[in-house]
Amino acid sequence: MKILVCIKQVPEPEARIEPAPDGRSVQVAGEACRMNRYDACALECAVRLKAAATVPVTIHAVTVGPDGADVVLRRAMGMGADAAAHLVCTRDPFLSPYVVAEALAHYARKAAYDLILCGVVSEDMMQGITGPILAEHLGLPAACSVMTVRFWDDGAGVDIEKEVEGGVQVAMALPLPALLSIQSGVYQPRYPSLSRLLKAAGAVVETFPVQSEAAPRQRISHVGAPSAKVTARFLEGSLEQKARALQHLLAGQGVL
Amino acid sequence: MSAFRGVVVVVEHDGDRILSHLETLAAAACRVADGNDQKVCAVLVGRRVARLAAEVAAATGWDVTGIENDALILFNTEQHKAVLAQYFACRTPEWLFMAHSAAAQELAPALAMRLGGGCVTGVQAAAAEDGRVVLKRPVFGGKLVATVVPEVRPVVVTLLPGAGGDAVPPPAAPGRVEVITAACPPVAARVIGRRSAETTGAAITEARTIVAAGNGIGSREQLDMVSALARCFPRSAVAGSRPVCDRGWLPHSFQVGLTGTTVRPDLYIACGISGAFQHVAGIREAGFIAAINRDPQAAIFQVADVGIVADLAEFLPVLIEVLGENRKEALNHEGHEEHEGEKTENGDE
Repeated sequence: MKILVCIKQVPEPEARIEPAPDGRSVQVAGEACRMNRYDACALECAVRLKAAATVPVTIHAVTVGPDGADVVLRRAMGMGADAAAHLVCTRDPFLSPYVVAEALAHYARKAAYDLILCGVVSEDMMQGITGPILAEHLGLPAACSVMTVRFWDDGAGVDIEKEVEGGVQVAMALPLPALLSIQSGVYQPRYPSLSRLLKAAGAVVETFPVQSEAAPRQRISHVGAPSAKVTARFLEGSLEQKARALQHLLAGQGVL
Repeated sequence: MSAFRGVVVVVEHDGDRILSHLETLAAAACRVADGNDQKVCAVLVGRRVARLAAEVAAATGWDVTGIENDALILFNTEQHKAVLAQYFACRTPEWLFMAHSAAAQELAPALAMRLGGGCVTGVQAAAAEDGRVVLKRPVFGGKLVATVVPEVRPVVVTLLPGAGGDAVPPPAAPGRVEVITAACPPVAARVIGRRSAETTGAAITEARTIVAAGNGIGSREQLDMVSALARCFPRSAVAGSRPVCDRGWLPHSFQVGLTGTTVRPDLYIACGISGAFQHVAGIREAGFIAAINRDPQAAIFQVADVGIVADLAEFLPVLIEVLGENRKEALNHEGHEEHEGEKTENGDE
């Protein structure tokens, strides 16, 4: 049984992010990047499936990213991925999901993966479409916002529960191979073990140039701050001055 | 000019009720269609959809096509992908609009691929400017807004509530309704059933003040401080954002947002909540929103009435003390004890 987990690197969520002077890209304070939270949940799902399986399971992690993106792959190996591949592309904060999905499809076709897992959405671009596009490339059934996954006893499929509006869970059965995008919740990512991290630091991460003939199908013409028409009135001063100003405002609202 | 014409709205329903936010879809579709001199129509897919199709035609004035098949009992995205791809293959519109929902998340990118087009999800503003359609969507947790230019047609767009701007006037007359039967190829994925959410803590739906904890609280211990703040208000409750509930710091029944509970308190205090649209969707009807976050760029400040940029661990004790003093003063002034009707319901107790 082979599982492929697709991982994206994203900026730290609290990093200061500004539109670049050209208005078409972004500047992120610091270079720190980390594994997309939902992709970490997908990897956790894979690691737990492996632990519960009655047949041998191999977990591969793959990322499409610029030089340096292998940091998240080494963390993935620290969490339990058996091997990792880095599909190297140029630095582009708005790399089209169509280009990424085709590169992933090209890689995924090299091995007969039974299950492909992605995070439900990336924290930076928030599109949630790379997984479903990849599934279409490979002709696989797909389910998104998946909360739990269990292999059938014969290993020919998975029972899943996925989340829809209002906290309702929909149960589905999908034959393998299939693609699932994992929602956070049940699969809280573990911390990598030190021994695994040390091993991962010395492990070889395979690298391949991105092979994607895909047209981007979309481009970003402008990035800017949200419109200023609705912005909070900010309270200024010392902590106590802010607290008193807030108390005064709330009293005025009649909620105290 | 594109070979593809028109705007088609795919309306989501549960067999009984329309689920899509029709006002948003109508406003966005009209703005995009008018700017391009195109026509809007709608489709509904399901087992029996004539009544719902007529409802949409009456509410919007669009011509509506109901696509029926007896196999479409439980909503199964794989079936809907196949039925819609087949239907649109020979009459592909330039634009396909859907509400941004769990179903659309699966359907929109796949349908776009099968039609050879593109997909833009989570659009917060769709309009035509000088004959060109402009799609804006939040990125980086809502800290920035990106304008997306689709370079292929058709384009499948999923719209966040309010993405069409001001509501359009109601139609002069209902549109025509046509119901057709479509083939539904067998699909391998099966829907087994649905399970409702855990019973929501009545506290958060009934509370007049909600103090909500987000990822920014940093540790479970900080929840005590959040609870203490809630106790400063009558009829209050504690709630949480998705990351806080995911970590098990609060039960999922205390989660506010798109996939959690929608709340309508008089006062909502967001502590360390970044303000992703999934969360904000659950607090749109709150009376007054105060947000405390150490990140001045946090998107929550775009929806809050008042914002405080501060570290929660430092600010909450000060605020609790100030509110406590005030409460004592008020009680002394009125010269009586807290009356019985005032009961604090804290979610974590």
